[in-house]
Amino acid sequence: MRNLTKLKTDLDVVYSGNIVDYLDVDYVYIPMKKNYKTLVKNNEIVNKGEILLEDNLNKIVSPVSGKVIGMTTLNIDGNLGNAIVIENSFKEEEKKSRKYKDNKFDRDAIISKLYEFYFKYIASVLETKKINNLIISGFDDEPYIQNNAYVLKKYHKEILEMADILATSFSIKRTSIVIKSNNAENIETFLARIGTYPNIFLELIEDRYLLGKPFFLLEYLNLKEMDSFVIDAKTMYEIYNALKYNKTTYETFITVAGPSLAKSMVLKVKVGTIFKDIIDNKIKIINKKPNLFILDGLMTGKPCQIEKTIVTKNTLGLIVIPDEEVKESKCINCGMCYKICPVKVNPKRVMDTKIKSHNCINCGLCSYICPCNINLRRYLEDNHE
Amino acid sequence: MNNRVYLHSKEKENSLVKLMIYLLIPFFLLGFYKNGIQLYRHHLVSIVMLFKPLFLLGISIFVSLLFSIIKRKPFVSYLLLTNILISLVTMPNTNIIMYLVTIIVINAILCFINFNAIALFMIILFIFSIFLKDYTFLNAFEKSVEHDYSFINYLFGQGSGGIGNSFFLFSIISLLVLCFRFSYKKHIPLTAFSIYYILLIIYSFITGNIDLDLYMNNNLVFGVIFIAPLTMISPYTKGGCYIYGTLLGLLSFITIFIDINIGIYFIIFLLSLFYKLFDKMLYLNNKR
Repeated sequence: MRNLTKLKTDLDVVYSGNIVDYLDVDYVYIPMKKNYKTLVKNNEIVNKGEILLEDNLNKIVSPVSGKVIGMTTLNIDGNLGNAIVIENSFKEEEKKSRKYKDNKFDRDAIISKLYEFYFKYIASVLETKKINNLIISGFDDEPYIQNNAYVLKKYHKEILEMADILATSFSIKRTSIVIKSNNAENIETFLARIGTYPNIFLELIEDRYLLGKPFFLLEYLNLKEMDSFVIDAKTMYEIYNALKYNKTTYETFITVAGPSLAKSMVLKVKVGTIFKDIIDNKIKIINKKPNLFILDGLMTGKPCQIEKTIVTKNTLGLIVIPDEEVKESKCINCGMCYKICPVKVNPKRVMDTKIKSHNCINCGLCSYICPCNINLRRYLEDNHE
Repeated sequence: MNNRVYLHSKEKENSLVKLMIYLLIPFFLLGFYKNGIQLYRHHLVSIVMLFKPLFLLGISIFVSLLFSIIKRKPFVSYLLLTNILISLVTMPNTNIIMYLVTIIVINAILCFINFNAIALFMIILFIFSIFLKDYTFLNAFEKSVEHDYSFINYLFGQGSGGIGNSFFLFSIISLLVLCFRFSYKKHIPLTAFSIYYILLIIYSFITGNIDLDLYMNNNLVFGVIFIAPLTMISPYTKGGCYIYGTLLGLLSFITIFIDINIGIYFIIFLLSLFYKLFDKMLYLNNKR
């Protein structure tokens, strides 16, 4: 088994106790995608759930009801792209979707619903693979990102119910909720509840980086990829809403945290919300000196301008740290970047020779360990491009 | 836009240096006792020369400070460690002026080329001592008496060696401590020792002669643990370290037939010239 690293997390970060809602946004921004057909025009009124963009397989719907007022260029998941701007009318008029008369959850009904609500990958896995182990991960990989832990805490009943439904419908032999052993609150919550579900188990794991990635988690748990499937708590809750209430999820959970903030928090926000609005309305920045905003975490994230960055389904959150100068020094040939790499890429060689390595998983451990503060990820990222 | 590393481990450039310097303190103290206090007590040195180990260490620290200012680099760095190691491995009879000049020259060259300064220092010192016909790793007391050291004597620093590197037991303790450090290239000493001792045991078995000075040679053990794995001048890949360690062990064994005490520095210097090659060799092999 791989020797995974425990990250140093000693920043002074205080979290609010519960998930904070921020759903009343004035504008939402819907990213345009290549090869997608745009179905709305400028000044057109759209309902919540109305299809805005589509291709042969996927559809992108509006998270609010309102008016299309134009297009703008924004930072979408770390890359620049165009987005449709919708002015929120706050009417929340939703296009009526087909309601299921009964709540029967048989295998075929679940699969077809999952396809209907755009959980295509999960649906195809459940359809094609015989799953013996279902793992629900209640943690995030990135330090200071707490989305799954908070979702698990708040929606533990829903997640347990959904896990039980999936286990029964797909004859899954073992279903486990995986929690980090340092998350005492969630352990207590689940120990109190899990007795109701005799087929669901609680698994505690060490606080090690990369266990949030299914491959590493399954390896850690000694399970085979062939008959095991990992779903995070956030997705599990979305599936619950889709299967139980036929609800499309227009919101997502993100963490805004950092030592520059009075209080860090996990927020429930509309997909398409701009970060500037979240910071202005929900977050208090206490560090008066310049701050650095890192999108999606300190290990794998990138700096961003909050005025130009939006929340998407893939967004993990924003980390706010003081913008201090960190000097890079010359490589001392220590080899720690190579030693720590979980997939045995040689970052120093990539830096020296510019020879590509296709195995890199962009975990950022090489930059994290480098005693000379060299951002090795920069050289490896070029490979991904 | 700022593209720095946002989260950093505790491993800093100077963390291993600091640990190594702490580990060297007992070596220095024993060296001070053996090559200062003990010699003075036997009236072999004057009261001033009682502090010779301290002077040498002071010179090393001063030169490090000087060059760290010139190079505008932090004081606690590999340069400081290198100079402290030089002050410990130098021969007990080294002339202080010669020491000062050599260490300044070595540090000046280090500004331009990266090489194993400790090993080169010892080679230069060896050449001088050959010319001056006073090459020895024994101090005045050891030279003046007939000695037949036991295993325990060797363990607690009675064997021949540099002015402050003859604490065999603490060399082994240091190796154990360093092996638990992520940044230490443990594969180099472990491979080198394995190869060296396997060959030595076979040799002893064939000849029927167990020479404790070869089994517990302070220069060899100290050099392999502290000098050979110095990060700037040793391979960084696991395979590279294995090749480097194997050659180190093998060549060390060969030098027992010539002179292991100075031989180890020649070998370390020679291998450190080609350290990049060991990593590359492995890479070319993988590519195929």
